Amino acid sequence: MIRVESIKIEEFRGIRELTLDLNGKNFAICGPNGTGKSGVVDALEFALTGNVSRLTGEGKGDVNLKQHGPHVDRSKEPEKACVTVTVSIPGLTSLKEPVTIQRNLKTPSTPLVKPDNPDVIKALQQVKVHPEIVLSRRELIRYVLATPGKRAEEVQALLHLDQVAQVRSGLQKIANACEKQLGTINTAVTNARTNLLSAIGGTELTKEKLLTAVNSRRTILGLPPLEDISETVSLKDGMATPKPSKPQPIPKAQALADIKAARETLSEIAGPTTIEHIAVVTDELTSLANDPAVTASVIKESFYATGMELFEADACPFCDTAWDLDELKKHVQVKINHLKDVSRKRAAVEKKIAPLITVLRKAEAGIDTLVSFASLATPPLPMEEARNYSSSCKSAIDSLESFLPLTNTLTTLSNVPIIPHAAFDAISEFEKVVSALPEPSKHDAARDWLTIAQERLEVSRSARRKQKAANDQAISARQVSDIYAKISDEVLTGIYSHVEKDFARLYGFTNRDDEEKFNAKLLPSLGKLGFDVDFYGRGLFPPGAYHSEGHQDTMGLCLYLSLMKFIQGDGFTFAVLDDVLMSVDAGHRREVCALLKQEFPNTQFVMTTHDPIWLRHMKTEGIIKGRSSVQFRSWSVDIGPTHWDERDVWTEIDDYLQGNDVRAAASLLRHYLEYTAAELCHRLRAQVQFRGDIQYQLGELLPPAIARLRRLYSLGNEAANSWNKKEVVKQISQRLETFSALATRSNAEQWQMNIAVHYNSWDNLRKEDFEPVVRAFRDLLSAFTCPVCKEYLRVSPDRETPESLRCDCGETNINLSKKTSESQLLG
Amino acid sequence: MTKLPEIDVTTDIPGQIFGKFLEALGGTDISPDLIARLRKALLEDKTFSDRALKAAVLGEEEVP
Repeated sequence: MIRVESIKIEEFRGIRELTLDLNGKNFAICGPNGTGKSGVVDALEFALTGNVSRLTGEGKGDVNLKQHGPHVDRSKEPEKACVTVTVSIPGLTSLKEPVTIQRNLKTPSTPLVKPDNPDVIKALQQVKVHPEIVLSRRELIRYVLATPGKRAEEVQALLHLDQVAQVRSGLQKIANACEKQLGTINTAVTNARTNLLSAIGGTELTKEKLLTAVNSRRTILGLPPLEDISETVSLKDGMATPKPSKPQPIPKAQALADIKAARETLSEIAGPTTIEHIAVVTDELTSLANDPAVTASVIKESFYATGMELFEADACPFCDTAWDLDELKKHVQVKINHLKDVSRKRAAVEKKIAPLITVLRKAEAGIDTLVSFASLATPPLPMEEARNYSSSCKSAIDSLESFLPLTNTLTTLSNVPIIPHAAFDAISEFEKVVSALPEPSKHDAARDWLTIAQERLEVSRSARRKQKAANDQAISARQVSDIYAKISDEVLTGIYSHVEKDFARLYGFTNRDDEEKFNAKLLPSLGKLGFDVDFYGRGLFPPGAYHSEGHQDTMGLCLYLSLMKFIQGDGFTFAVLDDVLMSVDAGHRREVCALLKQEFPNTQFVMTTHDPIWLRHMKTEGIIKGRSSVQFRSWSVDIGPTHWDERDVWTEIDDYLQGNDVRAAASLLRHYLEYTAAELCHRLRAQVQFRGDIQYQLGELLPPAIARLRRLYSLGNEAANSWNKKEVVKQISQRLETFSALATRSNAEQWQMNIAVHYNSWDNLRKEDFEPVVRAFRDLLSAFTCPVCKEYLRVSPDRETPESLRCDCGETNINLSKKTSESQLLG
Repeated sequence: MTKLPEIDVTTDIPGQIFGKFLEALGGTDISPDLIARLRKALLEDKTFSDRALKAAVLGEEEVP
């Protein structure tokens, strides 16, 4: 991955032109709300990924990158909205100079990269693969407070697990579909068997009976008997092709046999045995239907059972809420188990209904065969009434199989034995037509029989082959789906287990004062990711249950960091933390700084905050060093953000004075001094009268800072004297003398005593009178800096006994500790 | 603070899962052709649509 050396932003979001030097180090951007911090974050993300997540994705409505990415005055000129970053690539040792990436909003997906050698492009591809470089408070909430389903989506997207879920869902659908089609295929096998039995003229399909029937016809035709009937044997084996004369279209003997079989089936349906059976089933169903509680339970049970059959996707088909299929099935199964009694009764009744369904199916198939023969008659017989009855058999089968509503099932049952006379009449009419056909010779009858038996045997064989293939497919598809589910669960559980441990460790570190033994649980399953955290040893709860908002913010950060660390390993070299951790208190912020420093020493963090105190924490804790920060002071639509850059401030003040605008110059000077005086008091550990609202005026800050530096120089002198370092004493004395003269010239220390020189009166000065004031303060502030690195001096350490007055470059390092008798002893 | 033991970090978690899945299928009686088709879909073509998966699992000819 990469580290950002610098960024130049032009006409992008709220920024007109801004250049920041990050130098590959951690960098902080501080400023009040609306001063352009997020514009820099957006620009960084855009330069590196070509996208601005705040402007794209869910819930962004009509906002889009191309139209709303450029500065509002450049919305029609996206090519002018341009961001250029220079980056270094730590892993690429052959790279002699930083890489420049330039993107504009007209062609965001085609950046200009220099140098564009394959190694550089490959390294930048890594950023493309994992573009989640920005963590804002919005993302914290996504990870921590989201519903399990939503969190799973977010984390899965981060880990690119959407493909894993897609495959799981796809394989599950295939397995379900394969199992579902078995029902239809099994029915086809039953019907084919029934038809074949009708041809043979028996009730039992055995090889022996089939061979007997076949060989008797083959003997008539003078064909050798078949020894066996294997999968490939034809019953007509050796039979000559039909004579050229027109063959009889309706095989008389078979048609009569089929008519007989159909009549028998209808008689069975309307016969006393069936009627008696229907009466028994009706009684049981009626008793179920008459008990409202049972009926309700049956309906519920049926609903659950149907649901169990139809669950196949990973989300509810109605509201699209993600669910965990396995968990849901378990959950529903518990409900079904609660209705066990009802379930048992239902199963018993359905078992009794099954023979009725079989006989109705037989009637349907038998009549369909007759209808098919009748269409070959001359003229064709429509057999309309028989057709209608066949359809009604099919409807009755559907109704009985559905079982619910019970009233419909009862009505269907009562209608089962009722066969319209017209259906019988149609069969009789067809029988007359068939009977009138000339009697075939024994030879022809045998030939017809073998032909039809072979046809039906083929249909039966084909149906069975399909049934076997479908069965094999169903078993195989289920096995594939189950193995995939098992493996993906195992891998995901491993990943989440690692992440949860790392997360708990990081969070425990930031809260080691009271939650060092903290632990957490990520509970993965497809469709959701539960996230429970320990609450002071009282158990595991969702993060929002008992933990404060500040703790939740820290959890979000720690979860993000552990996920990024897991995904990118050593490649996690850059991240932007956009105004996160605002709810975290000062103590825990220090711990967060320590965490980032200790655990992520190779990651460059760009952090934004509107809180200058937070910025100081970052500096104090050493996560932000030297000049690696920028403090925005204001923003306007015409200019964009302005920041407290010393060179710019003095130039700006001079510009105001050139234009004779003393008021603006005075206002800017005062604000800059307020900002700087606070920084100086902090760095020098000056004593300031405490204010709970942290609203200090300039007069309350600058004089203590001046007094403090004087005092520190005096302490330095005393210490140098005690060590007998005359040269150092001389240097410090010179510095003190210069500094005192500049302080006196500024009159800053007189503010509380002499109102005439108070900054409030600056507005009323003439240009000529104010120019010396500006020079005086410019020189005074300069005296607070190291002459080499120009950094403001600071006391080290930042707590407890001051030991030195120093700068970051080391050029200024004034010892404040006097020689004691003990140190004398130790030499 | 104790460091966690390093685990095999890969940016391609789906690839990792698909690889282990295919390896597990190899230890079953699932037909090698089916496994080869799945390997092509998941690891080579990287196509995860229902249609592609169906073709891989059921082969060219589906049961009508």
